[in-house]
Amino acid sequence: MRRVTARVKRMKRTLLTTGLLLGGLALAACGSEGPGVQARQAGDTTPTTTPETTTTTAAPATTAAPATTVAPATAPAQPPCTDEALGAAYAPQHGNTAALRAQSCEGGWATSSEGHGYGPPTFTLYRAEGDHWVVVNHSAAKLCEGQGVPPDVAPRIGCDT
Amino acid sequence: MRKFILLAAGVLLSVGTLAACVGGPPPPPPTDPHDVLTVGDSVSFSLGCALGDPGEIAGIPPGSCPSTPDYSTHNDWVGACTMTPGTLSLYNGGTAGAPNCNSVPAGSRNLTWQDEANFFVPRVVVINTAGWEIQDRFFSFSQPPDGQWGANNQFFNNIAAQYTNQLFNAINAFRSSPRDPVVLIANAPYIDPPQPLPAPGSVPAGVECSWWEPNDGGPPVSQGPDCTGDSTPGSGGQWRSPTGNTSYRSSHGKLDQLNAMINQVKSQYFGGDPKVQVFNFKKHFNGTNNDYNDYVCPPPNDFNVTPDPLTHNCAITNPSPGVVPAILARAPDKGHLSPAGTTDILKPYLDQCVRSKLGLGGGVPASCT
Repeated sequence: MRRVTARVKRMKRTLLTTGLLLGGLALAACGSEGPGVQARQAGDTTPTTTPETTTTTAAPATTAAPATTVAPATAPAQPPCTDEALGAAYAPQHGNTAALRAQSCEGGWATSSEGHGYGPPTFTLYRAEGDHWVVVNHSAAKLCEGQGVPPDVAPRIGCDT
Repeated sequence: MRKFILLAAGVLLSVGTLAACVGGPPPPPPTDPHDVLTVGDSVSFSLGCALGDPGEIAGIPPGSCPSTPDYSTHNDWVGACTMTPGTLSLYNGGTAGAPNCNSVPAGSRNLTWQDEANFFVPRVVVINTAGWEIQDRFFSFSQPPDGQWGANNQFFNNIAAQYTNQLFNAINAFRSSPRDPVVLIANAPYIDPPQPLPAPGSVPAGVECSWWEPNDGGPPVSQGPDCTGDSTPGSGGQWRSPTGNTSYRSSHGKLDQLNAMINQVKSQYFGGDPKVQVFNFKKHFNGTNNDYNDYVCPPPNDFNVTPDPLTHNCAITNPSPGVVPAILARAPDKGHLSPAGTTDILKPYLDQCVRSKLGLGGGVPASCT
């Protein structure tokens, strides 16, 4: 009698285990997703954009050239403010300068705009180093923030602050 | 008996769980909810960028626009996008089907504006088209082009009717989208392109030098260096009629009419709908002289203080008396905004306006107008 009871108990355990395993497998199958779109929810304020990246090609603000090497806003000497002079700095990093146009130059800083057919232009920030320009940043609208452009110069060359 | 019950329970659990997975109605169409959707042409890029998203622009990473951490924006600008149908009379003498971004699938996702609204389910939509909207076009293939902004005749009536009809349809489409969004129609600031565009080599052959809408009162001479007045590569050459049978009309006058039509659509068809509003884009760039300006005084003095024409300084009294540098607000093409124009002039107003529509802190309803 005891042997029969023990066998029944073993059988119960086996059946229970089998049932639970089957259920677990089914749940696991249900939970495994195929490819799909992860929709954002209303009110979700997490930006969908990837973390900010930078196209800064010269020293960032924290390592900008010392103030003593930056020409003051009133300094008359700086490289020519021409498409060619700015394009010479732009071309090695960004290529084609056919649609590059100088925007404004002042105080040892300069900006250019690059046309893209029917699309909006992009912009490039330069800093004077001796007799030539060097590219500091290339962007759309967040071009100059944190790049060390003096506050009295930035608005005059179309720089965001 | 007990064995059978236990086995049956296990099987039922499995079948029930699987049924829950595969049964039921079909899933809803995919969405990618964003708080704000901006649509329009290449100038409208700045509206979306001011709200945090550059959209898809070659070589420019997502972080290239000012961040807006407490709301999300999808910038869906499409270059040369217009609402008005018909065939464009190109400045270079050619013709091209009007790129109707509202009703014809456009952009990299090949969606209409209605599709965009259903996918991004915005709570605020910002619409802005202008530069290519004001170009002459053919609705029939009679000569001269029978759609002409800046005229004061049937040709103007034709194009104004087509534009207002499409704007009405676009607003209705957005207003009926899932999250009952506010629709802001941005009017257009003046533009003053110094030469025909786009530059040769930047677009397929045949459409270079195909757009020129100068601000001047009379036909100007192209300043180059990309396109002459005759749409050949180079500089110089006066504006001439692309079709040989139209008169010069400045973009100043054309945009006055376009902006008036925007106001008319609002007042005539959506006067009682507080969720349709005109965003006063032009107010912040046309200055005190109500004309095209390269330089604009920084907010809040952009529309009531005139920069000195030589020093580009602004003598202000608000928020305190002083002299501040004016902002170079426009790109060298004198149509698009500069980074400062987008970030330091447009953004403060548009952000406050949108925040007020989203019910977020920092919202200022008056910044819309």
